[in-house]
Amino acid sequence: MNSSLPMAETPVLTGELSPTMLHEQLLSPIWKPHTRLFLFGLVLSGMGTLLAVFAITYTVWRGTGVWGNNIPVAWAFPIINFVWWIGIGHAGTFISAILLLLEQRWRTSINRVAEAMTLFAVAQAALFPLLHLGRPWFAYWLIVYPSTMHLWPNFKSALPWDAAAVFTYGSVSLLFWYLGLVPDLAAMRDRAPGRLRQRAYGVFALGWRGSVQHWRHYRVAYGLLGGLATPLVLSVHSVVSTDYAISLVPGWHETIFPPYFVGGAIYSGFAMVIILMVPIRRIFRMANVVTTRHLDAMGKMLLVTGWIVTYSYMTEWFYAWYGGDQYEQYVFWHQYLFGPAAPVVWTALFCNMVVPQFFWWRRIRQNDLLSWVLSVFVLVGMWAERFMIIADSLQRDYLPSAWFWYGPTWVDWSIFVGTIGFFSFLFLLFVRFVPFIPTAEVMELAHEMKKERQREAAA
Amino acid sequence: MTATPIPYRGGGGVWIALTVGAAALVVDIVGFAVDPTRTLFAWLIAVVYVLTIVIGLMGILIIAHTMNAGWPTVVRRLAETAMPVMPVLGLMFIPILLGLNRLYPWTNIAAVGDPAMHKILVHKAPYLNARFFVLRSVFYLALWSLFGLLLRRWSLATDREPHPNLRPRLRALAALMAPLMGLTLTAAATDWIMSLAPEWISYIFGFYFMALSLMGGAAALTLATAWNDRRSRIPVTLSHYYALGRVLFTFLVLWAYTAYFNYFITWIANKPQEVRWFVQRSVGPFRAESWFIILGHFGFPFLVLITYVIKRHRGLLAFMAAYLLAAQYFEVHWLIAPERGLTRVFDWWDPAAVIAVAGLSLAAALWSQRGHLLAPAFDPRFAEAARYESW
Repeated sequence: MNSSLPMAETPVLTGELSPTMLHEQLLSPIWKPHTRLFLFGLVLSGMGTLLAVFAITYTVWRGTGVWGNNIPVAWAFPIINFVWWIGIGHAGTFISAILLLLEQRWRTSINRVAEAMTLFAVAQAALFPLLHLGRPWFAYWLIVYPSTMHLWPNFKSALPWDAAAVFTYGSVSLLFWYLGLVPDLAAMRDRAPGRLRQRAYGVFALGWRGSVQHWRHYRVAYGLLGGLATPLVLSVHSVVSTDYAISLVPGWHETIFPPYFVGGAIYSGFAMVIILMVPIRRIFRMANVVTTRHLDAMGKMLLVTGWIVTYSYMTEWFYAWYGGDQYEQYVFWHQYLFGPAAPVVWTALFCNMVVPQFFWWRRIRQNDLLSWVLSVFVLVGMWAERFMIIADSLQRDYLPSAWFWYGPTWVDWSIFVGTIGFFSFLFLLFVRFVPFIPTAEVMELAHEMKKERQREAAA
Repeated sequence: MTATPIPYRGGGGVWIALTVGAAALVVDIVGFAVDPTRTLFAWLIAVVYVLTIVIGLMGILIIAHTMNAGWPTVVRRLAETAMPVMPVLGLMFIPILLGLNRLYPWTNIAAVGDPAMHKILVHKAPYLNARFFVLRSVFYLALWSLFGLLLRRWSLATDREPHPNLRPRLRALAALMAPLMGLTLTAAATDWIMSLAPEWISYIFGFYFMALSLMGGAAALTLATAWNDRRSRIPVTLSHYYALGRVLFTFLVLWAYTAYFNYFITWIANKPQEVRWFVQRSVGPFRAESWFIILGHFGFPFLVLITYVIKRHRGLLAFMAAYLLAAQYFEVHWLIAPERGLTRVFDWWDPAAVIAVAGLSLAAALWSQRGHLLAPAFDPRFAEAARYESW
C-alpha cells in the first residue's frame, strides 16, 4: 500500500544523508564493538534472567503452593503478569499491521523494534499460564489433538481459547517480523565485516538477492501478513478479557471488557515502545530516523488509548451503580476505592486517567525524557490495573466468610522481576545482532520523500 | 485534477424531500391521535436511526480532523452537509420528551407491580427521572448541535478565502470533541435505548452505539460521494472509493465485534437480569429480525465488502452503502421495538415515522447547503487529497 501524500508537520526522516551514508548509519551499530554500557546491561539483565530461571525451577520443583495464590484468590501474580506482558506485545502488531493498512509513514522507523518487543513480551507472557497449570509438562493437553482417551479441552472454558489465541499471535508475529528482516539480513550478509558474520547472516537471509521477483513476492506476503495480523491486534486481548468477562465474579462480568482490554493493551504497548525507543535514539544517534514526529505520534497514541481506558473506567463505575447489583456496587464503590488494595487501585486510576492527559501538550509529546518518564508511569498503572481487576476482585466476592487478603511471596516477585530481566536480555541481544531499524524500508521511504521534494520543487 | 468550485444550487431535491417528509408527517400526526404509544415508539426509532447516521458523519469528521488525514478532505463537505440536521433532530425529539410516560417504564414507578423491578427502579430513580432525563437529552442535543455547527462553519469559512489557520483550529476542536462525544453518546444510548428496559445493563452498549453510528455515517458518506461524483460535482477517483470502502468495512467489523461480545458475554454468563433482553429478541416474533441482523446486516455485507474489486467499484460500493443504510434501520428497530410489546414486529407507523424524519432531515441538509461549495476547494490540502492514490 502506497500513499502519495506528503506528510504535514515534521517529516518522518530528517537530514540529507546520501543513501550510502544512511545505509552505513543504520547497519553499522551491529558490527561496531560493543560498549561497556551494553555489557553492564547484559550482565544485569542476565542476572534477572537467572533469577527467573531459579524461581521457576523452584516453583516446578515444589509446586504452585510456593506462590501467594490461595482460594478465593486462585488467580493472582502469574495471571496479572501474563495479561500485563501480553498487553505490552500489542503495540508491535498495531504498528506493523494496522498502521501499515492506515498508510502511516511513521511506522517505518520503529516497526522492527516494536515487533521484536512483541515477540519477547509474548514469550514472557506465555511462561505464566504454563507455570500456572501446576504441571507444565501436561501443557499440550490444551491443544486440540485426536486423543485416544477421548479427552478434549473444555471448549466452553476461555483457557483453551487463550492458548489458541496466544499461540496464533506468537506465530504470526514471528513470521511477520522475520519476513520484514529478510532484506536487511541479506544486506548484513553483503556488508558485515568478517566471513563468520557473513556466513551466519547469509544462512538467515534465505538466499535473498533483491531481484524484482523477490521484492514482488515480498510485498504480497507482507501485505497478506499485515492483513492477517490486524484482526489479531483485536482478538488476542479480547479473548484474554473473556477469561474474566464470561464468569460471574463481581468486577469481572462486564461486556465492555474486550474493547477495554484491547485499548489498555495498546496503551501499555506504546509506553513500552517509547521506553525502548528513546534510549536507542540517544545511544545510537538515530534522531534523524526516529524524529520528534515519531515521539509526537506515539504520545498521541498514548493519549487516545489512555482515553479508551479512562472511558472504560467511567463506564464501569457508573454502570456498577446503575445496574443496581449490590455486589457490583460493593466491588467498585467500596472494595476498589477503600479496600485493602486501595493504594494499588488509586495508582491505576492516577496513571491511566491523569498521566495520559499530559500528552495533550505537544511540548511534552516531543520531549523524549518526559515521554519516557510518563511511559514508565503508564506501565506501572497498567500493571496496577490488572492487579485491581484480577486479585482485588477475587479477594472479596459473594461470601464474606471466605474473604481473604492476598499477598505475593518472594517467588511471585522473583518470577515477575525475572521476566523483566529476561525481556531486557533478549532485547539487548536483538539490538546487538539484528538490524533494529528496518533499513530497506527506511531507504525506500527516504527515496520516496526525496522524489516528492523534487516534484514539489519543480511545481 | 481540481474541482471547478461551483456552489450547490439546491434544485428539486430539497422540495421532493420536504414534500415526502411532510406527507409522512401528516400520517404520523394522525398516528399520534389514533395510537399514540406505538406511534411514539415508531418516532423514537426513526429519530434515533437518523441520529446514528448524523452522529456517525460527525464521528468521521472528528476522526479525519484529529488524524489530520489527507484524502477525506475531498469528501469532507458532504459529511459537513449533515451537521445542520442535528438541531432539527433536536426539535423532532420534543414529542419523545412530551410522551416519556408512554415509552419508559421508569416514569411511573408506583405502577410497577413486580417487587424486584420496583426495587431496581427506586434505586435508579436519582438518575432515571423525567426531569433529569429531559435535562440530559437537551444537553446532548445542544452540545452536538454546537459541535456540528462549529465544524461546518469553520470549514465553510475557507470557501470565501484561503485560511491557513483553520485546519489546525478544526483539528483542535475535533480532538477536544472526541472524548466528550464518546461520553455523551454513551449516556444518550443508555438513556434513550437501554432505559426502555430499565432492569437491563450492558457495559459495552456505548461502544456498540458508537460503532453502529460510525458504520451508518460511513455508508451515508459513501452514498453521497457516489451520488455527487456521478454528477461530476466532486473530484474523486477510484482510490477514494477504495478508501471509503475500507472505512465502511472497518466500521462494519467494529460494529460486529461489539455486537458479538455484547451478546456472547451475556449469553455465556446467563444472568437472568441480563439475558431477558436477548431472549425477548431471539424467541417470538423478533426472531426473524435477529437472524436478519446476523446474516443480512453483517454476514452478507462482510463477504461482499471484503473483496478488493467491489471497494474500487463505484456502483457496487454505492449499492452496498445504500443497503447498509437500510439495514441499519432494522438494527435500530430491533434495539427499540421489542420493548413496546411483542404483538407485532412492524406497524404502518414505522415506515411513516422514518420517512418523515429522514425526509425532513434530508431537506434540512440540502436546503442549508444551497449556495455553498460541495467540496472545500480552497483547503490547503485539497489538491493533494484529490491526487490521492492507493492500490
